[in-house]
Amino acid sequence: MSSSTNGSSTRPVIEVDDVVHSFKGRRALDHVSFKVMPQSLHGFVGPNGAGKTTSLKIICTLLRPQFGIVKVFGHDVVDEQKMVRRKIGFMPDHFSTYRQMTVYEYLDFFAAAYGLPFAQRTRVIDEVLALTDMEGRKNDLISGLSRGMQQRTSLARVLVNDPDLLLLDEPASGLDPRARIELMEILKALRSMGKTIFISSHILPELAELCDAVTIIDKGKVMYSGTMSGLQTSTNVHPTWRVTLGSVVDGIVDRIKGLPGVVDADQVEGRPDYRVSYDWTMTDTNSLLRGLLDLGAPIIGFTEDKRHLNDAFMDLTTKGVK
Amino acid sequence: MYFGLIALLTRALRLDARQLRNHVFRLAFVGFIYLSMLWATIWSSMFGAPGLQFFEHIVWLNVLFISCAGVGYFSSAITEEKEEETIGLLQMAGLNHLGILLGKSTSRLIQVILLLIVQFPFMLLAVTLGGVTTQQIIAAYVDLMAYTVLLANTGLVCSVVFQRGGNAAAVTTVLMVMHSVSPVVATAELTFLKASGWTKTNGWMSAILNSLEWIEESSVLKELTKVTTTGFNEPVFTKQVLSNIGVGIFFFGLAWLLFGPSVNNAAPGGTTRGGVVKSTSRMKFLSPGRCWVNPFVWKDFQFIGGGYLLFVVKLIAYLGLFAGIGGISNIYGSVLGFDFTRVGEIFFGCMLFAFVVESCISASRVFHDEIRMQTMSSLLMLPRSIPYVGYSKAIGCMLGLTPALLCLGLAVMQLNVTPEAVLRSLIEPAFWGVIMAFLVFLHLIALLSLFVKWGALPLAFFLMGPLSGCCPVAFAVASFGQRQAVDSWGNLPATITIWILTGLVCFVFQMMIAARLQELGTR
Repeated sequence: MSSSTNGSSTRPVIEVDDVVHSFKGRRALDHVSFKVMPQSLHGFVGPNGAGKTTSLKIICTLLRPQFGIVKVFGHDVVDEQKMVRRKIGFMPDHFSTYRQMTVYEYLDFFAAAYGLPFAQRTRVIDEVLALTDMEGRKNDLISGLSRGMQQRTSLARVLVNDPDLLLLDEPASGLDPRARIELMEILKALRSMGKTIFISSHILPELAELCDAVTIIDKGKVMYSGTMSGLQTSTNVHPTWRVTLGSVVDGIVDRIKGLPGVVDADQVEGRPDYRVSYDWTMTDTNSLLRGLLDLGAPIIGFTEDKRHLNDAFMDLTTKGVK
Repeated sequence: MYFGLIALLTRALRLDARQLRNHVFRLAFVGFIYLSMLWATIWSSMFGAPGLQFFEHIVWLNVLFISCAGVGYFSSAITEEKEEETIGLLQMAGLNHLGILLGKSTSRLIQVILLLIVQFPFMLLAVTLGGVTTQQIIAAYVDLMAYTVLLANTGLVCSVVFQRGGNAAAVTTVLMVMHSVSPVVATAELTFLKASGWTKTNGWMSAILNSLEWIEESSVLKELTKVTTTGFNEPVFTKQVLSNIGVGIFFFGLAWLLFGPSVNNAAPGGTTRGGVVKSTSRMKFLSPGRCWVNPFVWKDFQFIGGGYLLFVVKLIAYLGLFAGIGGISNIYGSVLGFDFTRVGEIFFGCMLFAFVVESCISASRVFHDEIRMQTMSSLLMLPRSIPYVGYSKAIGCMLGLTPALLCLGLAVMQLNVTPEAVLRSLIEPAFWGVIMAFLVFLHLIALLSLFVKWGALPLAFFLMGPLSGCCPVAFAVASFGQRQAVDSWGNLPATITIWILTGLVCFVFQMMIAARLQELGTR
C-alpha cells in the first residue's frame, strides 16, 4: 500500500459547510459544518439518530445534501462524484459482503470493479490480506467467518483501491474485545501509512486513545469539532490525571484535594491509584505534579486519564435514546 | 403452549388486519372480479351462459394465483424465521415445535382462505347471469380450499427442511408440478393396466388400481374442469378434497416430525455456494477462478447463473433429456402413440419451459440478491454507473442461460420446419409480440424483486394480466401482432413498430429499476 500525498498538508481532506438534510420532514442534519485535516484520525461521535450515518453517506456521495456544500480533497461530492469515489473507501455499518464468495474472490471482484489490471490486482490483494492479517483465511467462504473476520474482510475491500481517505461507519460494533483491539491496531497502521481516517464509533475510550481530532454531533447539530486537546478547554471539562503510588497512603485524597486548582480527587477501587482533576484556568499539569511531589507521595506513575471524551460526550449530548 | 400459540396466531392476524396493503390487495381482487362480471354482462348479448364463463374465468384465476403466490408465501413460513435468526427466540419464548408450526403456517392459510371467502358472495351473482348453479360454486370453492391446504403444508415441510426461502420455494414448485403431472401418468398407467387385463377382483391388483384412481382424482385441475362443466351435480366432498386435505395433514405431521432435527441441528452460516466449486477442491478447473475484466458479468454468471459446473451439468441434463425422449420414442413409441418425428416437438416444448423458468429465476435474483446481502451501497460507491452495473449483471445471468438456449436451438433444428419457415417467423409480428411480452415480464419481475422480500415472480405473473389490460402499448402490440400481410416482408413495419414500442416500455422499466437501486443503496 502506498502512502498518500494529498498536495498541501494544510488543506482539509473533508470540508462540510452548512449542510442541511431532512427525511420526511425530520431534520437529520441542521447546518452542519466541520473539517477533517489530512493524515489525521478523526472521530465522529454522537448518540443514535444524531446524524452520523447521514453525514457519512453524504461525504461518500451516496446521498446528495439538500443544502450546503461538501468537498472531499477539494472535489464537490455532487458535481465530481467519480473523482471523489476514486479517492475514498467507505465501510458501511453493516457487513455488505457476498457471503457465498471466498475472501480472495470478494477482494478480486472489487479490485476488478475499480478497474485494476490483473497483475496489479494480485499484488494489491496480497498486500491488503497481509495488512489485515487475513492471508490464512483467503480461501474461506465469507459466510463461515466470525464477525471480526468479516469486518476485516470489509476493511480489506475498502483498501483494494488504495484510497487516501477511509470513511468507517461503526467498524467496531458487535466485535469482541480482541477483534476490536486488532481492528484499532490496523487503523493505527493505516494512519502511519498516511491515510486519513474518518471514523464513526460509540466506543469512546478507544477513540480517545486513537484520534487526533473529534466531531461530536447531536440532533443533527455539531456540538464540537476540533482536536482532542482542544476538547477539554472548549467544553470546560477538567483535565484528569491518574497518579499511581507505591502503596496506599492514608489521608492522601484529602491532601491532594487541598492542592491549588485541584477540583476533585478519588481513589480507584482500593488500589494505590488516584484520579485527580484540576481546573485548567487555575493550574497546569506541571504544577499539579510538583504539588504532589511536595506532599511526599511515593509516585511511581503519572498518566493522563482519557476519560474526558466520555465526559465531553455526556456534557454535550442530550439524555435518552432517539 | 396454547398461550404462545394463540399469541403468535393473534399477532399474525392483527398484523394482517392493520396493514393497509393487504386490504387494498383484497379490494383489488374483488375489483377484478367486478370487472370480469361487467365484462361477462356486456358480452352476454353475444354469448350464451355468461355466468358460467365468468365463473370459469375466476376459478382458473384463483388456481393460478394460489399456485404462483402460494408457493412463495407458504414456503417462507419457517425459512424467514431461520434467515432472520429468530427461530431460537421463538423457542425461548416457550413455544414448542407444534406451536411454532401452527402459529406460523395457520395464519397464512387463514389469510389465503379469507381471500377466497371474500369472493364467494360476488361469485353467487354468477348464478343470476345464468349457466352456473350454486352447487357448482360451492364445490369449486371447497376444491380450491382443499388445494390450498395441500399447498400450504407442502410449502411448510419444505420450509422446515430447507434453510433458505428460495430453496424451499423451488422444491415446493417441483413437488406441486409433480402433483399436477401425476394424475396424467396415473390415467395412462390405469389405461395400460386395464388393457393388460388387470381387474379389481384380485386383492393386490385392486389396491394398485384404487391407488391409481385416487391419484387420478386428486388433481384440482381435473376436478375443477369437471365442476365448471355445464350440468355438474356431484357431491362437494370428492376424492380430490379428501385426498388433498389428507395429504396436507400428513405433510403437517411430517413438518412437525422434522422440525427438531432440521431446525435445531442446522449448521450455522447457512449461505452455501450452490453448484459453485471452490478453488481448493479437486475439481478446481470448474471453480470461478480469477475475476474477468468485467467483474459484474463474472460474478452473476458464477453466483446466479450457477458457474462452470452448473453450466456443464445443465448441458448434460438437457442433452440427456433429448436422448431420453428419443430413446422412449424408439422403444415405446408405438405403445404411447408418438414416433420419432414428434421428439423434436416434445424436446422443443421442454426446452422452452426450461428456458422460461431459468430466465424468470435469474430475473428475480439479479438485483434482489444485492439487496438481500446489503451490498448495493458498496456497488454504488464504485466508479461505475448504475446502468453499467445493471447491464453487466444482466449479461452475466444470460451467460448462465446458454445451455438452455443452445439446446433450444438444437430443438428448433429437430422440428420439421424449413429454414425459410424459420426466417419467415422471425419477421412475423406475432412472434415478436410474444418475445417482447416475455421481455417486459422479465423486467417486471426484476423491478418487483426490489420491492418485495419474496414472491416477485408470482406477483409479476399476477400483475401482467391487468397491466397489459390497462396499457395502450400492449393493445398496440397485440393489434400489430395480429396483422397478417400477403407478403412476409409486408409484416416488417408492424414488427419494427413492436420492437420500438417494447423497447420504450423496457426502457421505462430500466429507469425505474435504476432509480429504485439508487434509493435502496442509499438507505
